[in-house]
Amino acid sequence: MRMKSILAAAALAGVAALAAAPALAQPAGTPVCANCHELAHKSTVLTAHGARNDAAGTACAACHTNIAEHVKDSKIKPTSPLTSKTATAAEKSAVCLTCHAGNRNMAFWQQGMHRKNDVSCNDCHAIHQAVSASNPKMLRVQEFAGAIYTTTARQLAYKTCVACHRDTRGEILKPSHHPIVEGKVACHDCHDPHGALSPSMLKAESYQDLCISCHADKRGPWIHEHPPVMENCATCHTPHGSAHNRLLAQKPPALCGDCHPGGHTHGLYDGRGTLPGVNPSNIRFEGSGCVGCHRQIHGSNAPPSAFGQFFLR
Amino acid sequence: MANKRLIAVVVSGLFANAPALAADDPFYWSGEAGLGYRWSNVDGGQRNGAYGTSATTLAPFTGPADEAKANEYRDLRDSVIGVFDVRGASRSYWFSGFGDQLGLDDQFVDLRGGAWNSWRGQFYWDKIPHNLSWNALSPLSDPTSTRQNAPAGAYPPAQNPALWNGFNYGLQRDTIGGNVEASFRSPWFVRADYNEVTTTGVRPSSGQLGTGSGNGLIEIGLPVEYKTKNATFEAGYADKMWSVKLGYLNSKFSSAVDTVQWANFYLRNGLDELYGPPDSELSKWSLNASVRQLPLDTTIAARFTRSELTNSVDVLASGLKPASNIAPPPAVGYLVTAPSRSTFDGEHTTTSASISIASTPWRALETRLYYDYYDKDNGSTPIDYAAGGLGPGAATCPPTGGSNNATRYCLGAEVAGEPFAYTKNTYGLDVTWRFAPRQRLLFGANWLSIDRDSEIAQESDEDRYFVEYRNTMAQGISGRLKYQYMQRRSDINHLRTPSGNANLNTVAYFYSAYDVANFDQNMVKANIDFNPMDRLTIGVGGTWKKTNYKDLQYYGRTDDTTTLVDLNVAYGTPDKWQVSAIANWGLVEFNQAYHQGTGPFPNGTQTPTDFDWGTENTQDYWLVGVSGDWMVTPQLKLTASASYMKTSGGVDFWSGNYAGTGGYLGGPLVNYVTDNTKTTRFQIKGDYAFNKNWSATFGYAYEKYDYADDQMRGYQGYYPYYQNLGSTNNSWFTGAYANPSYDANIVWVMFKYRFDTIPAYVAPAVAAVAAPAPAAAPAAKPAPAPAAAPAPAPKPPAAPMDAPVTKITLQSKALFDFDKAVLTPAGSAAIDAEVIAKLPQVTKLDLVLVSGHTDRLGSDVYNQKLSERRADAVRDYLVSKGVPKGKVETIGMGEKQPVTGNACQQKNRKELIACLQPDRRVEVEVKGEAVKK
Repeated sequence: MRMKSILAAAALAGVAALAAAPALAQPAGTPVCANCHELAHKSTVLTAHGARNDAAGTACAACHTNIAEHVKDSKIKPTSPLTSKTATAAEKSAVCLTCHAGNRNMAFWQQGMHRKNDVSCNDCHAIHQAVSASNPKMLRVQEFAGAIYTTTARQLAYKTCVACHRDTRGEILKPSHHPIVEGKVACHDCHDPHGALSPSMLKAESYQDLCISCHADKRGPWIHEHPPVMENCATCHTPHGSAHNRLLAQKPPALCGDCHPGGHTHGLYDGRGTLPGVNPSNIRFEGSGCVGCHRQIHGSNAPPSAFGQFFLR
Repeated sequence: MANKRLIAVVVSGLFANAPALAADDPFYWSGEAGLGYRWSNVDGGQRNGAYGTSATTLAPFTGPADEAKANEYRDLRDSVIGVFDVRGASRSYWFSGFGDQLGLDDQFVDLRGGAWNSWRGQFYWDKIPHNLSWNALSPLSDPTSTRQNAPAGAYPPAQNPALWNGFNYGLQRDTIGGNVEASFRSPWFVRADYNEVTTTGVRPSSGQLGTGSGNGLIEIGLPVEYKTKNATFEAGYADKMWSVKLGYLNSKFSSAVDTVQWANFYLRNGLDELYGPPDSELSKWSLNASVRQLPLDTTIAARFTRSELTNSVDVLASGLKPASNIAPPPAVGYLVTAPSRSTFDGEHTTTSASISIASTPWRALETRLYYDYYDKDNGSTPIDYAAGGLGPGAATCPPTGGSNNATRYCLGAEVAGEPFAYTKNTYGLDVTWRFAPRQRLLFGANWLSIDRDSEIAQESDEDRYFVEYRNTMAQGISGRLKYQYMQRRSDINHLRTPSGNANLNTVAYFYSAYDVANFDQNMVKANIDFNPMDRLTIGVGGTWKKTNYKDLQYYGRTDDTTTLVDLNVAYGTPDKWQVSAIANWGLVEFNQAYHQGTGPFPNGTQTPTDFDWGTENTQDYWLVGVSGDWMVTPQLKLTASASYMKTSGGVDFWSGNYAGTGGYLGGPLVNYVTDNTKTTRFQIKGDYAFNKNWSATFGYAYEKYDYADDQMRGYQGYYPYYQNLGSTNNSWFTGAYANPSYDANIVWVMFKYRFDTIPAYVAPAVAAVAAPAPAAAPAAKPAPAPAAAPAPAPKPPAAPMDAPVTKITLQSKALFDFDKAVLTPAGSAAIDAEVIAKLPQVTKLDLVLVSGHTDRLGSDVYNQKLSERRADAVRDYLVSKGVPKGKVETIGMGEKQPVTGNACQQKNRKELIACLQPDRRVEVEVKGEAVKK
């Protein structure tokens, strides 16, 4: 009870002070906190969190609560859930959600996996680190020991995600990968970290709809369709990374052989009757494997005289 | 709870104040710009191949190196490198701009700005190179054009790749766009977004030669030029309770290259065709809504979408086919198979609806119920094709096709199947039970049912159940353990007999297709994160998943196992030095059963031409990496990292009668390796700050990538560019992806200028206890404050002044600093106001009893002493103000007389301290006789 009243008084006093404060030798919005906490001030003064502060530091108090006593005696630390070692994730998120719960991007936070797994706002966002225009959402910059040389100087969002999602970290470093480590595709291009109604918090209502939003050349519609292409891209592809070309989960012919035994129409054995390693070796294993002939595997508009229904053209 | 309301009040107050300060609203900037140079040297993998001079002899050929993989998603050429990173803001407006790799193929530019809480806009331009395989070779002329001819019309074309034409496979994908969003400080918002994605380049393609599967193939470079235009509009309302968003997306895809013509050597250089993807238009409506703060902490969220993907394509009637399939055909001709319509109107309609209800029905129990509906309807016009024949004897072709001979080539009628459509229904439930502080049990169940228009399996049901335990109890340790069981049951039609429709033959009826096969799957997942000592954090995790496929009386995949392990260790502090290490390991194994020949069921009689065979597949990878950074001096920071990753895989074949005749037609069954790669990376970087503004970065990076794969094995050994399979059956390879190995050394240096117009803090020239500091305020203004400011001020007297004993309680916070027994000026003033001022009303002062009290936090002994010292301090002050020393007595009560009783039991320390505030006090009892009222 008391705290509420003190702070309510603080707010009113602060607001009153804004109007009544004498002209200072600096912008009206520079809080007293900046006297000691220069980095914290500089990291927020050009962002929504600090651009409209006042000399009392009420924008600072919005998250750090009882700063008034700290101003008097710096040994008294403001006790905010965000910096507490014992606060729960829900308590930490509650500080940010006081203002941001009404943000349209937080509409599905309650349904999301991150909230359910006790991930709080400041596990991913850190508003007091050195800010860059390449990191407008102030994601927590993590070290990443993958040693990738990237041409971009940006602070890349994926490093924040793989700090927890360590199994995915190995996948995205595999030889065939979406350009995530190069900074051209981000985790949040496919997933919505604040909550979504799709499995794996995907941004679209299904795999198909998500993948074709970038890969529009695969969306057809085609005269000759390949049903797994319409039902689930993940039947053949693994989006995070693969040792095999084109993000395939396995190489052809093992990949195709999971549905098409080949023994019925034509086998993996051709007229040579051999496998790789023998000269001349079996053409159906060489190079791209089955896709060497069945190139239009996502669908085809070619006529039967060109074997379009078998995706040859 | 109190803080939440406060925060909302404070923030809205801050934003509401804008107009008052508009007159004095300068724009401050902060940022940096950098310019430098990068040198790189990449050695690509050599393609050591061969070409066949006959069906059994090869001549060696050394193909050109391929540096594409090193440049796969980045532009490494020697060049000037530039970056800018700028932010600026005033109380009303803001701007942020970033750009790097300016002028290069992987350039990135992002500019944003707006008015706080009001509107915002963004412009972005992102270029993504995707280099695939360089220095490929093709026997066709103009190998990246839409018309690729045989060299000077020669037949047969040269088999020696030294005479072929070089080209690169690669794509460049550029996205340029922007958006505008406005809310004008209200919960209503609108947003418009537009972007264009252009992809140009050459992608790997190929064409089968001839009519039979043993006739060989040719790899081709296919020119592409795609453009996708996406426009999105959204409008809605969002506040803490309600959120609604209506959106519309329109996406138009067009491909400028419809047909690529190429000389087909099997058909004596007749022109064959490859086709590009069709243009299409996608139109999607979506509605998202959520409502929160319902009873039992319930949130309901829902999403509806409806999209239509349409296109319209001219149906081709003919493709190139020989007059005869007997080798080599003397003339070429076109086989016409009349389609039932001349235009194909493609239409996919997708409807989805999802609803999710999350709530907390009891204090320790959270639940989530959800349902998803997803329907993909296929309204595309099915196209049938009539039978067709070619050659002098074509008139004698039977309508069922086949039946080819020296004078005719016959194709049967192609009857369109049911367009593929499906519906998915998912029901699910999650429960989280916090059965003890910091321990939770989670349960979940999910039922997915798919209904398809398909002869292979019309219905599949996938059920998942999981249970999970989570513990965050011990300081610095948290862990979880999860078990999930999943099963899939489909009604696979194993008893179909193939009809005239060739489509049914492609998934044989004695086979269980992987994406519908019945299986049982068990998965266990665990991870632990802990920091055993200060600055050291360790995280370990692992997953094990095993799937057992059922119906092993049919062929197909039999089982698969996936095992993953990951590890993270980090030590250090960001200001001085830190080291971190990572490790990942994964193993996937799966087994398949096949059949060669006509007898369709496993474990039947095995003969040399009719036998079971199968594969045992393994893929594994492991990765280790270490990275460290070190502030050598306050100006110099060094960062170094290194990593090594190895992937390997292999396929082992087994055959049912291998022990007998060794497989089909006498060839051996061999193992082959798949995608064995080793990637070594090392990087060291230094940042040196000359002064506040200027700094330099220098860096060196080394990468080595080794690739080996038996499907491309010859490119490091004897793999033929031109494979002579027989006089009419030949294959031609360009070397695409054959040897992406590379060695790269990269050095760069960059000078940066950092600027910052944000002024340093200057303390105001007013009294130390400034007006805005709230808790001090009541003390600084003694007279009016006690009425205005609550808690810190002393409580009003407990009893009216005409009683013989008056107890005045003074909160210790107002009198003393934390943990001190020295009266503050504010404290003195409070005593002046509350005690001294009232003493004249007492005529005959008998006694002033000062007792000090503390709350229960801290040891008894300590609190006892503190309370005594505080009581003494108050006594000394009273005496100094004229109260007779003999009349003042002090006593320390320590923590023995709390006034809060049992009311304060909060677990949160901060809340507990706040609750116990009334216990921390000094009581002054004035005993005497009062006179005036």
